[in-house]
Amino acid sequence: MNKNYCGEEQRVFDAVHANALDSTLKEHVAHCVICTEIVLVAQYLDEQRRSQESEIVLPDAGLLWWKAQLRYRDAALARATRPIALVTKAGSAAIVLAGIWFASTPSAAREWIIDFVQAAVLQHATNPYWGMLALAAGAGTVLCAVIGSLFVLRN
Amino acid sequence: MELIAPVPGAASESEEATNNRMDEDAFRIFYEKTSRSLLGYLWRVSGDRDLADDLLQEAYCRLLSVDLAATMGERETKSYLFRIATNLLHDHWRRQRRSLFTSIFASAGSDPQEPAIDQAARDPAPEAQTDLRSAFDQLKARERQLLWLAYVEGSSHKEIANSTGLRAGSIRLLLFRARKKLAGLLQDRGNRIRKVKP
Repeated sequence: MNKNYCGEEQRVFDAVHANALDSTLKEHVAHCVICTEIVLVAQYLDEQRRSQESEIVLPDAGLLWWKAQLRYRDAALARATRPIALVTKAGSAAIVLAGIWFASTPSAAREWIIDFVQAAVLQHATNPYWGMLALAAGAGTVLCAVIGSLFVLRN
Repeated sequence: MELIAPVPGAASESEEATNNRMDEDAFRIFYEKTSRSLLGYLWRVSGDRDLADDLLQEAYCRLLSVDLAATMGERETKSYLFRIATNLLHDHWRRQRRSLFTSIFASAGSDPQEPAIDQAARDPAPEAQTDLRSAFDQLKARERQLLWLAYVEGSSHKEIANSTGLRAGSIRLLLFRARKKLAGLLQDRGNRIRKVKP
């Protein structure tokens, strides 16, 4: 017999659980320190289990199922809207950076805008309406993006 | 018993192959079979009924949100559930330790490694302690886990290793030590009772 192991351990444990310790096993237990401990501990823990058994009140399985489904859907929604959130954050960061640049160097920013507008208009000098139309479309796109971003952020 | 079933309304076969979450009927059967023992385990190891209730619900929710391997049987799924619950319990204790360190009321002598069961019962005079607290509550959390899983749940060493995250090879020795300690406490208590009632 090992110091911390007895060959009859499992049999003794099974017999205690089944409440069927026969005379042979009882005799073994009387002479084996390991098995005495097993019997003592197994009986004590079984007593502990039985004492708390009557106090156990379980939550409803349906409620847990519903809770888990709700959580799963929330997680799926968060996964699905992650790209939108990412684009929103990137857009917000770009606007903030542009704002900082505009505020720190107002003259340069103004020049850049004038150059951009002139270039856009001159590029379509043959037909000034195209230039104006492109500008209006650009402004409309920016406006839509801002409104869309605000809507997404609000929701 | 087949525990795992694809999520109802799964769109395609390829999705079904990777989406092995329990369906409602399978969950109800599994819950019926395991919830009582899981609550008993959490309650007895933590010593806190409300905490055990919370962790039980969280453990099942987490189990339902993971894609289980299609080959997983009932015992393996139960073992996995106990692992989730054990991790939740450890997370709770970790948070408790952290708040203990930051709390201005933390006493310098308290041992942050050992989550106490029934802290109020630790304070009374030593002679009253044995009456108020069971021998089981005097063990370390890990010892309580090991003994409960082995002696109440009847788990094998491999299953205990899966549930606790310990190495399977070390379970026998740890269990031996925990059992010896509890047996010692029980014998001690028996002797004291005999002294009081000759």
